[in-house]
Parts: sequence; C-alpha cells; structure tokens
Amino acid sequence: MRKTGWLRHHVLALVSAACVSLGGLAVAQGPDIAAVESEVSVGLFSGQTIVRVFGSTATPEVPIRLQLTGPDREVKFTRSVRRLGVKVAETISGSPTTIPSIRAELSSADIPLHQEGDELEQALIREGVVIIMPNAIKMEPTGLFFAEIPLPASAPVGDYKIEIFQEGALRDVAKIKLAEESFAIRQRGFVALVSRGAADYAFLYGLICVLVAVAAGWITERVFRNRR
Amino acid sequence: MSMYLPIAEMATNPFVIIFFGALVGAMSGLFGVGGGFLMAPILFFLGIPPSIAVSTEATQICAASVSGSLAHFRRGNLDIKMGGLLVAGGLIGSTIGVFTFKWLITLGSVDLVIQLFYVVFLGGVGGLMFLESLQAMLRRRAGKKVNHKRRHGFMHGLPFRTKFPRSKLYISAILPVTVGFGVGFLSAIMGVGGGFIMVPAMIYLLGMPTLVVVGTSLFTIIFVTANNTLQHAWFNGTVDLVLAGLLLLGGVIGAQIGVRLSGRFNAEQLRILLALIVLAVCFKILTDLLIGGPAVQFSFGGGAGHA
Repeated sequence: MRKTGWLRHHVLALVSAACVSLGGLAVAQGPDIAAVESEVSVGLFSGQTIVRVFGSTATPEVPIRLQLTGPDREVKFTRSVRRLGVKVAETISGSPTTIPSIRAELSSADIPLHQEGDELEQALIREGVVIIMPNAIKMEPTGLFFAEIPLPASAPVGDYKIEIFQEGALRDVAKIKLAEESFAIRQRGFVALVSRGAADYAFLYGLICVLVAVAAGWITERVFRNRR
Repeated sequence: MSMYLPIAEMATNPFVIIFFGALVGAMSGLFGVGGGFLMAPILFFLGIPPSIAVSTEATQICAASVSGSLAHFRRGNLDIKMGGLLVAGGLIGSTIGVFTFKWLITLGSVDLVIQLFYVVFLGGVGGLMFLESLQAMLRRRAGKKVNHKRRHGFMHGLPFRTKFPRSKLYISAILPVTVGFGVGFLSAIMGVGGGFIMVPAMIYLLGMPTLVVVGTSLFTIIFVTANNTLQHAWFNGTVDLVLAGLLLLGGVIGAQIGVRLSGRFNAEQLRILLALIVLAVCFKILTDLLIGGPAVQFSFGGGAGHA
C-alpha cells in the first residue's frame, strides 16, 4: 500500500490565543496529509501567538523540518544609497516582489535552514519576518514530535500554511513533503469591527473618527473647565 | 500587556503610547502649542508607520484644539471672518496635502518626504524661536523695552482688501487664504496642527493682535485637522481609531499636568526650552537620515495593509 515506509502524520495547529478546533485525521498513500482546520483570532488585547504543532512519523531517525508561511504580501526591497549626503532607499533590482508576510523554519536537527550571506534573507530575519529555529522540533524516539512556533503579535491576518518535510535520503534528492496543514488568523471583536469598517465604509469611518475627536475634546473641556 | 492596533496591524504597549501622549500633552499645556510636531516623531521612533502616525495625529490634534479653543471662543478671542478665510485656504491645502500624501505612498517615498519636511521645519522654526527668545532675554537683562513693529509690506497692498473689525485690520483676503493653504498642506503631510507656523504668520505677516491669534488659530486647526482625519481615513485608510484613543487619553492626562505646571516657570525660559526640544527632535531625525540603519531594508506594500 505504501511505497516508502509507513508514515502517518497527525498535525494539529493549536494556538494559545483562543478558538481552537481540531479537524479529522486522514491517512493517504505516500506522503500523508492530515486535514486539520483551526482558526486563530486576534482581539484588542492579544499578545504573542504561539502555534503548537504535534505529529508523528514512523521514521524518527530521519530529521524533519517544518515550514510555516503566512499570507503573501507585496514587498519592496531597498538598499540605502547616499544622494547628496542623504540616505535614499533604492529598489534592489531582481528582488522578489511578493513574499510570505511571515515565515518560520524549524528543524528536528542541526540542518542549515537558510543560505548564509543572503542580504535579503538577513534583512527579513532581522525584522522578524523570517524566524529560523534549528533544533526546535522535539522528536521522541517513538516518532512523536512536537514544536512551538512563536508568531509576533503583529502577525498579519489571513491564511497560514504549515508544511512538514523529511530530509531526502540522498543529498541531491529534494526534501519530501510529508504533510500540509493550514489555519487562519482572523480579527475578532472591536479590532475586526474597526478594521473592516475602515476598509468597507471608509467615509463613514472617517466621519466617526472626526465625531470621536470633537466629542472627546468637548467632554474634556467640560470636565476640566472649572479646575483651570 | 499589549494592545492591537487594527489599522497599523501591529501590537503595541498601550501604556507607552499613553505615557508619551501625556508627556507631549503636558508640554502643550506648558508651552501653549499643539505638540503634533513632537508626537508624530515619537510615534515614528516607537515603530508606528509614519503614514499612520501622521494621519492619526490629526484626530488627536482635532480633539485637543476643540478642548483648547472653547474657552477662547467664550471670551470672544476669535476673529470669525479671518478664521473663515484661513479655514477656506486650509481645507484646500489639506485636501491637496492628503492627495500628495497618497501619491507619495504609491511612490514609496512617503517616509523620506515626511522626515525631510520635519528636518526643514523643525530646524527652521526651532532655530528662529531660540534666537528670538535669546535676544528678548538679553534685551530684558539690558533693561530695554521689547518693541514689536508692525510690518507693512507689499503683500498688504494685494487686491480683495477687506476689513477685519475684530483684528482692526484692512488687508487683502488673499493673505489669510494663502496662510491657511500652507498650514493645511503642511498639516496633512506632517500630522501637525500647524500652530507653530500659523501663529507667527498671523502675528508678523497678517499683523493680527495677539489677543485673537490663539483662538483664531485653534479655530482654523479644528477644521483643518477634521478634514485631514476624514480624508486620510477615506482615501488613504491610515487613521487608526485605537491609536487615536490611546493618544487622546494620554493627551487629556498630560494637558491637566501641563496647565498645573505652567504657572511655575518663566515664559522666556519656557520658550528657550521648547526651542531646544524642537532642535533636539530635528537633530534626531536628521541623524537617522544621515547615518546608521542597515543597508538592505524592505517594506511591505499595500498602503496601510487592509487584509
């Protein structure tokens, strides 16, 4: 039934923030994909989000790596160039125009996870858009593994994908994808209201902002007038 | 604790924002200036995207101006005719400013332009303010009287001359409209009320009596910043209501502290202190522009980033 050993992955994306629902578990031929749905929501007082991933593999001796990718976004890479003594950002030609808004790379062993010396990659790591965590997947001898991925509180809303790869047996063989999972970060409550309102009813939202400002100023003056 | 800013799409520590809002609010109470030109750079330094900092500041300044102007209106320290012409010019200037801002966002150079504007204006105004207060202080030490001469330049001879009974002036209507236009434009681009430009312009350029200057200036700023808030929210999607709320809260606390402190300081020393703060902020932005910072940087597109 299965070509390369018996692999079974059960990947759950559990998130500390709130609202976690777990889907079923599917067993398929070859690289296995488990279907899990989970939704993360961001409220007004949300802090860092921790995504927890559980799974199992039949071959614990083979190192695995995990890649989490956030929704794609347009990006512009720039290099600081001096023009008349002032630093000016100049677009780097040939740099990617769309990248995942956030990317985390984890591994169960000391596998090099990124190319050394890549300026663009270094810039992304410095700003926390790319999170590199070697040895962050805890692999049990039984084949069960567990990883925690800390996402910054500013992780953008949208659909996220978690992919798990096994290192190729041979060096030249590309990594084999074992499982893929997805979850979504959604805004909830007041945050969702403001952000949707601002996007869909921009004029009304602007009007409300003006009214809030005028009301706040007027109330302040009323409250503190007698004390001045 | 962190709080999520829906439009900036980032988490921030609300107490840090409230603290700086209060600090700037206290300075406003002390110095009698809006403080937008200090708050916006602080927000840049805190990592708020400049486009969102500038737009959201408009909301805070609008509230602060409403609160600060009511007492002046009650006392009648307002030249409504002059204010109306300033507002007319201001609305045109601020609308053009908002669209220039939008254009700069699409070019990707809005941050640089905002920072350059800050360096030029803070440097110029801070420098002038410092020199003038220093001279005034020295003259007072020498026992001489400070005399302000009203200049009567060529611009007072422009057409459309009209009477401003409250200010006891007979000048061209083009002047206040032009001043309003400039202030409105700067206000939209820099996230300031523009009082630091408008007040000197009203005194030295228009020759208005100081009694009505502050009330009329605040009157103008209310309308200009309300227009900025509306249009930035409408066309640029850069007004963050949660950030505005935090700034308002800080500003309210700070203004009360500032008013209580204000009686304890000498006015001239305060002006020199303000000039030094303005020059320090200018210097910080300038050094950020000239040195430091990593060579390779990146910025995500999509304007304010609606998901």
